[in-house]
Amino acid sequence: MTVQESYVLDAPDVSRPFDAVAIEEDLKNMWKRAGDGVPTGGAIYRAALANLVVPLDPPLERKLTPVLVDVTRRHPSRLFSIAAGSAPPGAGLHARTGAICHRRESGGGLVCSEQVVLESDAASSALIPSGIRSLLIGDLPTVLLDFHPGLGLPWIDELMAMSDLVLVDSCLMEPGTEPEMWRFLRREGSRRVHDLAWARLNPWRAILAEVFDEKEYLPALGAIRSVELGFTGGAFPPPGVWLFAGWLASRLGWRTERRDAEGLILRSATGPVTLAMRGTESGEGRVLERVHVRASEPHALDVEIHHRGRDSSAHITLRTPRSETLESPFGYREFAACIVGEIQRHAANRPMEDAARAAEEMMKHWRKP
Amino acid sequence: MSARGAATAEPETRANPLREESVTLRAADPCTFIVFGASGDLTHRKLIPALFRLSKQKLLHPRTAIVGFARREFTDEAFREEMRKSVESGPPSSDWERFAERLHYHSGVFEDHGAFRSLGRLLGEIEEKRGIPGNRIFYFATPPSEYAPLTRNIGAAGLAKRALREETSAPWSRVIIEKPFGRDLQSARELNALVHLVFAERQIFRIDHYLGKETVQNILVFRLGNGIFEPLWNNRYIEQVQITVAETVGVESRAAYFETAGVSRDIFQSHMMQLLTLTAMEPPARFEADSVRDEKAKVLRTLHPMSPEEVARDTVRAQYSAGALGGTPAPGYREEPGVNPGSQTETYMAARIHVDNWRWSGVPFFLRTGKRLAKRATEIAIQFRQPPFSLFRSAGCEMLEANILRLRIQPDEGISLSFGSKSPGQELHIDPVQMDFYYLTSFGQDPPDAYERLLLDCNLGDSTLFARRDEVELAWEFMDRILDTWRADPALPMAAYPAGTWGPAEADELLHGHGTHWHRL
Repeated sequence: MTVQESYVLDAPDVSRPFDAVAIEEDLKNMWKRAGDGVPTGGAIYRAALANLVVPLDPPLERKLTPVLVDVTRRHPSRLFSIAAGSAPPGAGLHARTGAICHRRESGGGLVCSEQVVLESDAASSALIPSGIRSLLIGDLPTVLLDFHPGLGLPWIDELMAMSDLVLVDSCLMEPGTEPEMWRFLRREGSRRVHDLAWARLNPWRAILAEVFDEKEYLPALGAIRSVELGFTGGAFPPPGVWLFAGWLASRLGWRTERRDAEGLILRSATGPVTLAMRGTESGEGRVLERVHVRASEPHALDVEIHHRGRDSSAHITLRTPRSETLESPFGYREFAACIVGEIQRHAANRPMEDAARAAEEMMKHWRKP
Repeated sequence: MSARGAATAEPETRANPLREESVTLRAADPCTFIVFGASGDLTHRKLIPALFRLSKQKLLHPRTAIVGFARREFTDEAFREEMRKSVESGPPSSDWERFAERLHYHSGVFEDHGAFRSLGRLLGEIEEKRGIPGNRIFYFATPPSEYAPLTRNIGAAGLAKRALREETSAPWSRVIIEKPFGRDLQSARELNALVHLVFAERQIFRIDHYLGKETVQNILVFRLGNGIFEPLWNNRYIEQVQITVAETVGVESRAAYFETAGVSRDIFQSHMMQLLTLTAMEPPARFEADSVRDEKAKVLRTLHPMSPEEVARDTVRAQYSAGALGGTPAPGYREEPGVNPGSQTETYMAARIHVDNWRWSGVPFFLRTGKRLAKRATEIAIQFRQPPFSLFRSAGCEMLEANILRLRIQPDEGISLSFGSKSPGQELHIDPVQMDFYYLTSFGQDPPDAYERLLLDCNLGDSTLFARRDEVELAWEFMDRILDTWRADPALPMAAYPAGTWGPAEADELLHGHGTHWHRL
C-alpha cells in the first residue's frame, strides 16, 4: 500500500489526561468533522471488526506502524496503540484519538478505523488495561498483538486475560527460549493464542504439500531419508525452521533420537531420517530459505525448494526421479496479511501444537553435547 | 459454505498427510477449463478476471490450463493479449505472466464436428505437457441456442468422460451451463435430456451467478445460523415477503436475445425463483449440496399453480416507455436498437405468489423485476405482522409501521431491521428507526465476485450453489402457466411505465387489499 492510499484523520485535541468519556467524545467529534480537507471522493465509512490492542516499544513502533496501518486496511478495527513508559515521570496516563483511513478498492470513499493512542509514564503502566477496558467496543472481539519478547509484565498479563485472541511472535524471543512461548500457547490453547512464526510458514507448508500431491511422488513421503533446511540470520535455527521441522516430524510420525555430526537423527516407520539445519549470515532476517528432501529407493526422490525474501514464486528443483526445474507461485504474505489471517482463524491449531511439541523435543537433543 | 469442506475429496488428495490441515482451502484438482464462447462478453468481463484472481490466490492448481474456443481466429499469444485487457493495463505483471502460461486458444465453429476432434487433440497435448490427468470443465459461455450443438459435439468427439455412480477418481468431466436453461418446461426437459446423454447429473453445473453472491449465501446463514430469526420465519409472524430485482439498464447489446426472453425468462424464472426458494425453504438436514437443493426443490413443488384467472389477477407484465433516468432522457423499449417496434416482450414483471405449505400458508410473496427502473437494487423485504394488541392507540398512535427486515443483495450489501421507537419528547410519538449491517462497514471490504466462487466450487466438485435438474424444471413448470396464459389471452394487457420509474401502476394494485405497498428502495 502506498502512503497516498491511506489517510489519517486526527482529532484536534492533542494527548490529554486519560478520561474515557472525553475520549469517546473526541472520537464522536472527529466523525462530525470527518471529511474536512480529506480527498474522499465519496463517503467516509467508520468500520470495526475488532478491538486491536498493540503495546509498542519505541523501536518497535517505527517498524510496526506501517504494518498496523495495513492491518486496519485488511481488518478494520478500533486500534489501541500503547506506548507504555513513554511519558515523563509524573505524567500519568494520557490518550489521544485519530483514525486511519483507506480508499476503497472499488472506489467511492474511505473506510476508516478509529485509533486511540495511550501513553503512560512507567508508574502508570498498570492503569493501561483498565483504560482500554473502558474504551473497548462491546461485543467485538479483543485481539492483543503482543510483540514483547518474553512474558511476565503484569499489565501485559492483564491485557492477555481480557483478550479473546492473543497473537505472539516467537521470532522475537531470545534464540533457544521459544519453547516457553509454545508451552504458554499450549497451556492457553491454540484457539486463543497464535504464534505468527507459524503463520509465516503457511506458504512453505503449502508448497511442500503440493509437491506430494503428485500421485507419483506421494509414496516417497514414507521413504524420506534426509531433510535439509537452509535459513538466514546466523547459526541457530529460527523458530520458523524449528516449527517446520516439527511439522514434518509430527505429520510423518518421526521421533527424534539423537544428534550427530550431520544433524538430528529421527526415526520414521521405515528407517532413520537425517535432519540438517544450516544457517548463513546472509539474507534478510532469520527465515527459512531452502528445503531439500531426499527419499530412497524404491520411491527415490530428490527435490529442493528455494525461496528468497518477498519473491512471489519459489524455485523447485527436481533431481530424482528425473531432472526438472520449475517456478511455482509462493504465497508470500506481507506481515499484515499474516496477522489478519490469524485474526480470522478461529479454530484450534492442532498441527501447530504438535509441531511445537516435536520442535521442542528436537531442540532438547540439539542442545545435548 | 461449509459444504465445500464436506464435499467428497479425491482419494489421492486425502492420502497426502501434509494436506491434512487447512494450509489453504481444500486443494483443487488440476484440470483444463474449456471456455466455449471465449471471444464473448461473459468471458472478458467475468470468467477470465475470476480465473485470474483464483490463480493469483493459488486456488487453482498450478498445472490447471484454460482453453478458449470460439469462431474468431487467434493465436495463443493474441488470445492472451486480448484476455489481458480484461484484467490489467500497462506492462504485464508477473501474476499475469504466470497466468498467461495457462491460456490456450482453439478456433472453431460450434456446429463443426471436426473442430471438436482437433480440440480433443489439443487438449491431449496440453494435458500431457502440463501433467493434467484428463480432468475437464466445459464452460458454455455462449447463447443458449448453441448448447445443443456444443453438447452433441463434445459427446461425439469423446471429449467428456461420463461419470459412473460416485465420481471419486480422475479423470473427471464437468460442464457449466449458463442460464437460461431452456425457454420453457418442454425445452428445458429436452436440453436436460440432451446434456444427460453426455454428462451425469452430478457433472452438470447450471450456473446462476446470483447464487455465488455472498449476500445470497448469507440468507441461509442469517436464517439458520442465528437463533432469533428462524422461530419467527413463518406465517405466524410474517405478514408478507417482497422480492425486488431492479435494474437501471435497458437491453444494451442483448436486444436479439432479450426479445425472445423478456424479464420473465431472463430474470424471473432464474434469479427470482432462487431468491424465493432460499427465503422460503425448510432447514436442510445437512449443509451439503443435495440436502440444500432438496429443500429448494420442495419450495418450488409447493408454489401455488396459477389458473388463467389467477394469472390475470396476480401477475403484471409491462414495457418501459420513454422517460428519464438519473436526469438523462431514456428511450422507450421499442425505440431501443435491435428491438422490434411492435415488440410484445415484457421488460417488467410482478407477481403475487403463494407457497402452499404449513410454514407459509396465507403469506403472499410479492415479486417484481424490471429494466430501466429508478434504481439498481436487489433486496428481499420480510414484513412482520403487527403486535396483536395496539397498546398505544389511546396515546394517539393508531397504526404503527410494520417491522421490516431487509436483506440487501446489491448494492450496499447488508441487512437492516426497522422497528418503532419512541421519539424524544413529552408526547408519545413512535417513529420507525433502522438497525443496519453493511458488509462494507463491518468487514471493511466489498464481498468477492460471484463467478470466482462458483468456478472454484465447480473445480472442487461442490454443486451446492448450482441449480439441479428438478429445480430448473419445477421453476419452468410454474412459469409456463403464466407465460402460456399471457400468450394465449391477447386481452391481458401489456402495461407501460416510463423509464426511470418504479414500474406500472397496475403492479401497485397487486398489493391492494394487503394494506401495504411496494417498499421504497
